[in-house]
Amino acid sequence: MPQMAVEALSENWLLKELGNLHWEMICNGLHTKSFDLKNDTGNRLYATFVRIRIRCAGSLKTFRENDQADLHGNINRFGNSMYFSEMLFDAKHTGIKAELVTTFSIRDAVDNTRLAKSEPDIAANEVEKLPKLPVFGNEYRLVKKGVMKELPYEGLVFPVQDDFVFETEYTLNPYYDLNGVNLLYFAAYPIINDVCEARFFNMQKKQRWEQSYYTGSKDVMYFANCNIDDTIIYQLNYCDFIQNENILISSTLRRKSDGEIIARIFSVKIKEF
Amino acid sequence: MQDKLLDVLNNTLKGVGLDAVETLNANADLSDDLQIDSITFAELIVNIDEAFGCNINAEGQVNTVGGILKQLEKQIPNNK
Repeated sequence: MPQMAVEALSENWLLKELGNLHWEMICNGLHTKSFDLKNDTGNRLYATFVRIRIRCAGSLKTFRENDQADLHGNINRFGNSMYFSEMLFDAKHTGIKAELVTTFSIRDAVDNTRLAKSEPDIAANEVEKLPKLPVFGNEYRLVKKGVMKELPYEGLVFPVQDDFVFETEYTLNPYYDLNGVNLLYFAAYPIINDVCEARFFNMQKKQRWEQSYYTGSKDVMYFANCNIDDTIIYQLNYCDFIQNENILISSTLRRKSDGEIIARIFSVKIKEF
Repeated sequence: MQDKLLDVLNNTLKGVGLDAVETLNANADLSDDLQIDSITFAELIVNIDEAFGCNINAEGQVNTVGGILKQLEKQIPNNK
């Protein structure tokens, strides 16, 4: 039951499991425990999520209570600071492919908008090195820089734009949205996105959005974090019907305090009613 | 060595649509002043390590152009 939400696999639970495995694979490759991961000056390092993309065989709703599933993956690195993993959440009748990339950061004790890049101080690194930057990483920086205006994925094209058709504010719930060091939790970004997205789509239709449309794919590009006293602004940049009345959506999360983009999210929601 | 570093830096910047820099400023912070994001930062370090056959972050992460130059002077014989 904790793995389920709204009659489907819980996206929040799934992301946490993916993040845990990603971090575990890093620590295994570095032969260290999570809390022992430090930089050369002894500062504890935190995993900073750069991008996560999940792709369901159908949608999250194809998973059922009591399904048996196995999560496994592999990890590589680019340089000493960027780690790319690919995972498969495999139930016999369905599955989810996931791709993650993280770097390391050290925290400013006061301001979550100032996370400094860093890398681990380790003697041996058994995570295999990639010879060049993967497309998954290159797309991220091109989108972040505003160079890439259209993000292609499996025959679809997600517009990358700042214009929006709907905007709403989200007040952070510190007990749920923040992690143990008061950073906005990586798994909270897509959930905040979905909560706000539902506000728009529930204005349009008679049936509840949350019980009609389920995540088929979701691509989260993380650009920044925020402080506990900030407010998140959600902007629905683009949505359109694609095959079988499914919906393609591009959206943005910003910090209200300074308007900075903290994430861009690209989703396909599958009609399941 | 500085010319070669400038080439490596500019090739990396151009690859992500950023403007090339004309000269190296030792005080320039790679993130704040050159607007390099985390992925480009990682790529720049890899590119420098490959171009010079060194390990720029051998003594800890360098975040400035000056820090890079200092490591290159230490690690490259005869400053080639």
